[in-house]
Amino acid sequence: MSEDTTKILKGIRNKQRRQKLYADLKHEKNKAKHKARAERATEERNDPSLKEQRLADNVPETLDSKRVYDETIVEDMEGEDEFDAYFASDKPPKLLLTTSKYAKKPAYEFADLLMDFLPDVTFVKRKPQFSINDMVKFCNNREYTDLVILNEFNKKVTGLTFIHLPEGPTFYFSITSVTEGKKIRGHGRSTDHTPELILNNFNTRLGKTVGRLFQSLFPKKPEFEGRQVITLHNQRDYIFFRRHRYLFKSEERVGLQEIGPQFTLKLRRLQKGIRDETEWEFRPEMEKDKRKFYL
Amino acid sequence: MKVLVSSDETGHVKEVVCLKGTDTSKKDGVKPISVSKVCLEPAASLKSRVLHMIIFEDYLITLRIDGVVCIYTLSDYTLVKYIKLTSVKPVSLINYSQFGCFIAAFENNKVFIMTVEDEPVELNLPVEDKNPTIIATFAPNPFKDGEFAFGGEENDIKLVSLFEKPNKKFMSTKFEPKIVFTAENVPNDFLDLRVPISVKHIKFLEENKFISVTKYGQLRIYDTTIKNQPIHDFKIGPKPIIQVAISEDNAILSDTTSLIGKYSLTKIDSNATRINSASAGELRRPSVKLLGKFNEGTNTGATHAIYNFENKYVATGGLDRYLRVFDIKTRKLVAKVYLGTQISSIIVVEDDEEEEVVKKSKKRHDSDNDEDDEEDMWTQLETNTKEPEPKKLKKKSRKL
Repeated sequence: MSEDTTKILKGIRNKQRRQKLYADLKHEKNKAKHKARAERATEERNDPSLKEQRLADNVPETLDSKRVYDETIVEDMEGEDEFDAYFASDKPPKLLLTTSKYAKKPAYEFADLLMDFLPDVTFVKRKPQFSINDMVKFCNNREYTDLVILNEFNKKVTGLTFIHLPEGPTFYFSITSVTEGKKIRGHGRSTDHTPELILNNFNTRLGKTVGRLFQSLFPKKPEFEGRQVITLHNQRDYIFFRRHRYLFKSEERVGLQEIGPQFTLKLRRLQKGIRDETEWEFRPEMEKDKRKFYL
Repeated sequence: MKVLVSSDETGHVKEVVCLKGTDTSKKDGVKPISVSKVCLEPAASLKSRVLHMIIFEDYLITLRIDGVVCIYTLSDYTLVKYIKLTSVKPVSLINYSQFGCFIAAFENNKVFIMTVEDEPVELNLPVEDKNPTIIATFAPNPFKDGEFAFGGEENDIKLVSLFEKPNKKFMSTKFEPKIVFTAENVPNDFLDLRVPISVKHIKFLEENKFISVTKYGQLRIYDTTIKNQPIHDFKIGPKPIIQVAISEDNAILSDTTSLIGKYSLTKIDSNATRINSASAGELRRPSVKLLGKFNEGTNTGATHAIYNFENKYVATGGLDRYLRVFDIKTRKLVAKVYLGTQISSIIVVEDDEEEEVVKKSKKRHDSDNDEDDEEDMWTQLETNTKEPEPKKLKKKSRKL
C-alpha cells in the first residue's frame, strides 16, 4: 500500500469506516493480482518459453541454496570403511530389532511399523539383564548384520540406535513426527516385496556414512514387481522417511500411492565401534549458523 | 610446514605441506601447497593401518596395526625394510636414538629392540601374575637410560629397566628386563569401593616423576622417591582420556568426545570437581587447572593424535578427518586441512619459518611502499596548499 493511502487511512478517525475502506482496498488489490495471474497463465500457455524465462529469473533464495561451503561434499570417499565387508559379500541383511529397557506400549506399536518394511527382521523383547555389548555378542554369534534398538521415554518413541555388526559404527537418531500408514489419506497396503531405495542429499563425508548405513539395511537387489519405494530424503540435516507404490496409469503417466509410515530422523551421534569413541555428535550450538549443514 | 599424517581408511601415510593460515573449510581460504599419498603399500587397507610413526635418523618408521614395521627413507619414502613382528596390536613405537635404535611394544607384553640393519631383539616384559595381562602403553624415561614404564587394563604401572650396562655395540647388550618400581592403586573411594585400574598413557616429567592418564578420566602424578601410590590423583572428566602430550608445565589431553584441553600440572583448582553423594553429601575435589581448550575450527570427533612441535605448535587429528595445527600459547588455529581419512598418528617434520620470514619481509616491503606513498601524498599536499602544517606539528612536538 502506498504511503498516501496509509496517510488517508490514518486520517479517518472512525474505526469501522477505516476498517471497511482498508478491507475494500485489499480486496481490490487481491482481485487485480488474480487477474494478472490469469492473464500471465494464458500468455504462458500460448508461449511456454515465457514461463521458463520467468522461473529462471525468479529463483527463490532458501537456506539450502545459501548453504555454507563444505569441502567434504566435493571429495570422493577415500579408502574403505566398516561397511565394505558387507557390500563385498553376497550375504543379505539380517536385522535384530529390540527396544530400550522396560519399554511400554508405544514402543511395541512403533516396532510393528518398522517390522513392516525392514527385511529379514527378528523382534526380541528386551531383557533388562543384557547390556548393548551383550546383545552385540549374541547377534555376532548368530550372524546378524545390524542391531536396531528403539528408544521409548514417557510413552513416546524418542530414538533409534543402529549398530552395524560386527564392529560398528553406532548411529543414534532421534525420531519425530511419526504418522502410521492408516492415518494417511488414500494410503495403500504394503506387500512383502523387497523395496527399492532412494537416498536423497547425503552429500558430505558424514552424510555418505549415514547413506551407507541405510543402504546396508536393505537387500541389494529390489523386487521390481512390488513397485514399492522407500525414500530417505535429507533436507537441512532432517531425514524424512516415506514409502510409496508407483502405479503405471498409462504409458506416459505414473501415479504414486503412499503406503506409510512417515517419520523424521535426525542424527544425534555417530560413534566408532560399539558405542565407543565419538566421531560426530550434535551440539545445540551447531544450529547457531542456520546455513551450516552436516549431512 | 611439513606434516606426516597416517590415513586410517587407506592404510597409507599423507604428506601435507601447508603454510600458516591454511584453512580448507573456507571457500576462499588458503589451500595447502600439497597433500600427497606416500608409503603406498599395495596391500595396505583399514586392517593394516598405521598406528604409530617416528622419524629415526633419515628414515620414517611406521608400525601398523597388524604388527608390521615398515622402514621408509625420509627423502622419497621408498620402502627399505618390511618386518612382520607379531600379529598383536602394537601399543607404542619409541625413538631411542641415544642408543641408535628404536623400540616397538605390543599388547602381549612383548618388546622388540630394532635398528635399520640388525635383526630385532625380542624381549618379554616380566609378568608377575599368572593371568595373562595386556598392556596399553609402553613409555621411555628420557632422563634415565634403559628405564621404561608400562601399564594397562587392571595392570598398574610398573617401571622396568631393560639393561644395566649397554655394550659398545648396543644390539649385543645383555637385555635383562627387571622391574624396579610397581605402582600401588589409590585408596578406596568415599563409598569404600575399589577404584578400577586402566592406564592409557604414561609421560615422564623428571627422572623420578611421571604422569599417567586413565580410561576413567583421571590424571595421576607419581613420584617414585616419595611413595608407590600417586602423589596426586585428579579427575579430569567422565570420559576416557585417549591421548596426552606434555608441553613445558602443561599437559594437553584429549578424550573420546571432542575435548582437547590444556591443563596446568603446577596450578591446582581446589574446587574443580563436585561429587554429590546421598550418604556423604556434597564433596569438592581439587583438580589440575584447565588453562583453555583448543576448540577453534569446530572439532566434532575424538582426537587420536596430538603432536607437540618444539613447545610451539600442537598438531591434532582424529576421527573427524581434519588436521589442525594450533599455537600452544595462544591456542589459536594456525592451520586446518581436510584430509578425508581418519588420523591415528601425526609427525610435524619441519616448520615453515622461512616462508613466514618471506611473508614478513614482504609485509615490510609493503609497509615501506605505504610510507613512500604517504610521503608522496604529503609532498603533493605541500605543493598544492603551500601550508607546511605537518612541519609545524613536528616542531611543537619537539618542544613538548
